[in-house]
This record gives sequence, structure tokens and C-alpha cells, in this order.
Amino acid sequence: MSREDDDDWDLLAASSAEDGAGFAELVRRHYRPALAFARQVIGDAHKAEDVAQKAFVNVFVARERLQSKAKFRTLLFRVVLNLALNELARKSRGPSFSELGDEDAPADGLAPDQGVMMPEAAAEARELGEMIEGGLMRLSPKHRAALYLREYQGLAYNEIAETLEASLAEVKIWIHRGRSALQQILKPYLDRGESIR
Amino acid sequence: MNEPDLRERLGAYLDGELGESERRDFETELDRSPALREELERLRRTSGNLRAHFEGRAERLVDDRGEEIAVERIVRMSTQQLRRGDLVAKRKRSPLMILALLIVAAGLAIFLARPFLGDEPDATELVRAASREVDSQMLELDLSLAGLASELIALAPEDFELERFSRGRLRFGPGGLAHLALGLDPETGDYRIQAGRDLAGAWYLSDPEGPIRRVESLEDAAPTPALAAVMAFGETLRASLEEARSNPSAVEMVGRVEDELERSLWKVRLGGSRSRRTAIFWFDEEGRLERISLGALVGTVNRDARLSAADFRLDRIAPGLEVEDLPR
Repeated sequence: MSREDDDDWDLLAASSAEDGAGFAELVRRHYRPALAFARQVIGDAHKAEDVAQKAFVNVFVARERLQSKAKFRTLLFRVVLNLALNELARKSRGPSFSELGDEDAPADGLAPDQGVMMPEAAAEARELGEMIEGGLMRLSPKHRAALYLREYQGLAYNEIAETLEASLAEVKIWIHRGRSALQQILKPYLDRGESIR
Repeated sequence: MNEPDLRERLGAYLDGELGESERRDFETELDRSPALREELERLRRTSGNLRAHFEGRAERLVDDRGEEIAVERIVRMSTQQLRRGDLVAKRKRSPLMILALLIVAAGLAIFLARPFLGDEPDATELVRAASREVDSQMLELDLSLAGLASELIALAPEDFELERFSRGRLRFGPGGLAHLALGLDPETGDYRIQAGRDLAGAWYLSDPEGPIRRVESLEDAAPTPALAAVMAFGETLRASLEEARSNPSAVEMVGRVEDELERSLWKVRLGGSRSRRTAIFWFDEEGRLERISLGALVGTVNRDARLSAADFRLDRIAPGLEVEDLPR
């Protein structure tokens, strides 16, 4: 583990009900990645906020029982994943008709950032972003999680396996299948040599 | 090297996950094949697009002000929760709390004795409580079965040689849930049931060539940590049902649940949690697959969709078996 990882655990250990300064620093370090991870697994920005925040609270309350063998972020992401899967399981037990009718749409309705683009380029970027998001949402939560951890967090396969509590073989398959599915969806763009940026 | 293997290696190469000699071999292959180089380039661009997409999303999820508000909220919630926990722990130790607990215990004893005092307890609630217990264990079981599936491959490659697994959720009776591991044969593209467990604690296994069979124990086949977790789940479940059964008024209700189990109705979604393809596997009392119903999920906007046996490749899973449409 790196010095920063040790530092994370030190901050957690030093936090208490009376002194939350160290914990606040820890949350600042990891909130955005945890939120983005939750958003990717759960597919809904508002629920992702709840999940990410609850994950930090759970970690804080259980801090005396936690072991510092793994990286703090690995543990945090694992908690986020479990809460997100619980939320998805809860949702799947009682979906509303409107939710069922909009299965393939991104749940938070966010469109890709267009930045300063000509209208045509912006429309194409939006279309491409929507295709990617649509493709991701058709994957299972764990496929999405594995792809996110690889592509955005840059984790090695063994670190992804540890985070997702999966075998190395499963992680390889999830990433391979996820990319293959996305590659198929992006085929027209790849044929034309276009990309999101 | 076959194509699926090659494509998987492309990904591992791109991610720097090949060992030294594997990487050298692969690069030799790359030098030889322009098509492979082109495929690598396409994969690299797919990966780049995905990364850009994730980055864009992450940047827009929260701004600096939003982040600071979230940090304050998390710290406030965390410290409050901890203080509440400490307070409860202190109160638990006080003589007053012990007295209060005694009063609650007495009340509970009176409540539990109601069946013998003439009042009717709410049997439905008891069974619902058992079902909630099942639900609360679902996630753990789900994860354990995923682990079990990969362990089965490693332990008994001759019997479980399928490479990819998906997990279907099985629904037994009112509120009861259990799980099933489905294997996808990479060569034929067929789904095959690999292992599953019903709420009565029986295991179902499938040999590559044989029928689905019901077995009493899987311990000898695969004594693994994942299996132990799944079996522990079964114990919890049986204890819950036992508890419900001990109440005289719940007997009829539990009996109905058990009848459902005997009929072993397995409802499986294929193709991920959002898939609309559904197959219901009906078993007879001996655990033999009796018939299969196919269709789209009831309640989706696509409820009129019709699927055929070919969509599920059932001719391979259960040749000659009666297949019917799901009732509308």
C-alpha cells in the first residue's frame, strides 16, 4: 500500500464523534470517485448520492471493526457496490410502470457534456454519449462496475477482483464482454473513425 | 488461437495484463496479422471513448460547492449516528433500561402466548417475516453463487466446463426467492442450468450431457467457501420457516408455501436484470423438468412480445420437452 493509503486509514482511525475533521478530509478525497462509481452501478444520479453518502456513514460507524489490509478506496467501493446492488434489488422487486416503460433510457436523464461545439458536432457527441450510456445500462451492474474501475479508475484486474469480490476470471470476462458489447454499439462511429472527444 | 480467446487476449494486452512471455507471443502474432492490429486499434478507440464518457459524467456529477455540502452532510450524519449509538449503549447499561427491557420481555411473552390464550395471531405476517428474511439474504446468496459458479469450473472442469455464467433469480411461491446459476456454452451459445437451490434446501445440478437432477447434497462435489455461504443461507431459511411452522395458526399458510416448493416453479430472466426474456421451468415432484413456459415479463410495456423455443435454444437444454407460451 502507498503512503497515501496508510494516510487514509490514519485519518479514519483518528476520527471520532467529537472530532470529525480528519474524516471530513477523507470524505473530500474520495467523495467524487465514490459518487461516480455509485452512479455508474445504479444508473441514477440522485440515488447514487444517497448510496455514496450512506457508504461513508457506514464506514465511519464501523471504523473500529475495519481492517487496514486493503486500500481504503477498495473497501469504500465495496460498500458502495453492496449498497447500490441492494438498491437495485429493492427497485427490481417493485418497479413502477413508468420505470418499466423507460428501461433503456439513462435514469438521470443526463446528456453528455457538449462544451463549446458547433451544433452538428454537439448533436453527434450527444448521440454518441447516449449510445454509450444506453449500451452501459444494458450491461449488468457488475459489468458496468468492472468497466468503470478499469477505464476510469485505471485499476488492475486483481484490484478490480478485490473490489468486486470476484474471481480474476470473472473480471476478465466482465471487461471483455462489456467492451465487446460497447464495440458493437459503436461500430458505425468506429468505422468512421469518430470519437467522443 | 480461436477467435474468442484472441479477442479476450487483445483486451488483456491493451490493459497490460499479459505476462512477459505471453505478451511477446502476442506481439509476434500482432506483427504477423494486419487484421489483428486493426482489431486492437478499434478496441483502443472503444476503450478511449468509454474513458472519455466516464470522465465527462464524473465531472458533471457534482461541482465544488455541491461536494462541500455533501462532505458537511456526511460528517454530520456520521457523528450523529455514532453519538446515538453511544447513547443507546450507555442507556442499555442503566438499571432503568434493564427494568424497561424486563417489561418489554414480559409484554412479548404475553404476545407470543396469544395463540394459547384464544386470540388469533397474524399468520400472514409470520410468513411475510420469513419471506423478508429470504430477501435480506438474497444479495449475499447472489454473490456467493457467482463465486460458486467460477469455483465449480475450477474444481470440476469436466463436469462444469462452461466458461460464462449468468445468474437467474428463481421465484418460489409468495415472496420466496432462491437462485440459479446458468452457464453459457461459448461454442454453442446455449444456456444450461449448472447449479441451483430451492427453498426446501434441495440442490439441482446439470451434467453437460445429462438431464437436470435433484441432489440432496453438493458438499462432496464442491467443498468450497462459496458453497458454505450458500448452504448457510439455506440453514437460515429453514430456521425461518421452522419458526413460522411452530405457530399453529401458520401451518396452513406454510403448507401452501411448501406446496409451491414441491411444484418447483423456477422463473428465470435470461440476458441480465433488464432482460424481458423470461422462462419458467416447471418441475414435477421427482425434480424432473416437466415443461417450460416462455414469454416476455408480465407488466412490461412489451407484454405482447412472443418468444420461441429458439430464442432460448431449448432444443439443446431440454430436447423434446413441452414448451408453451406464458399466459398473457
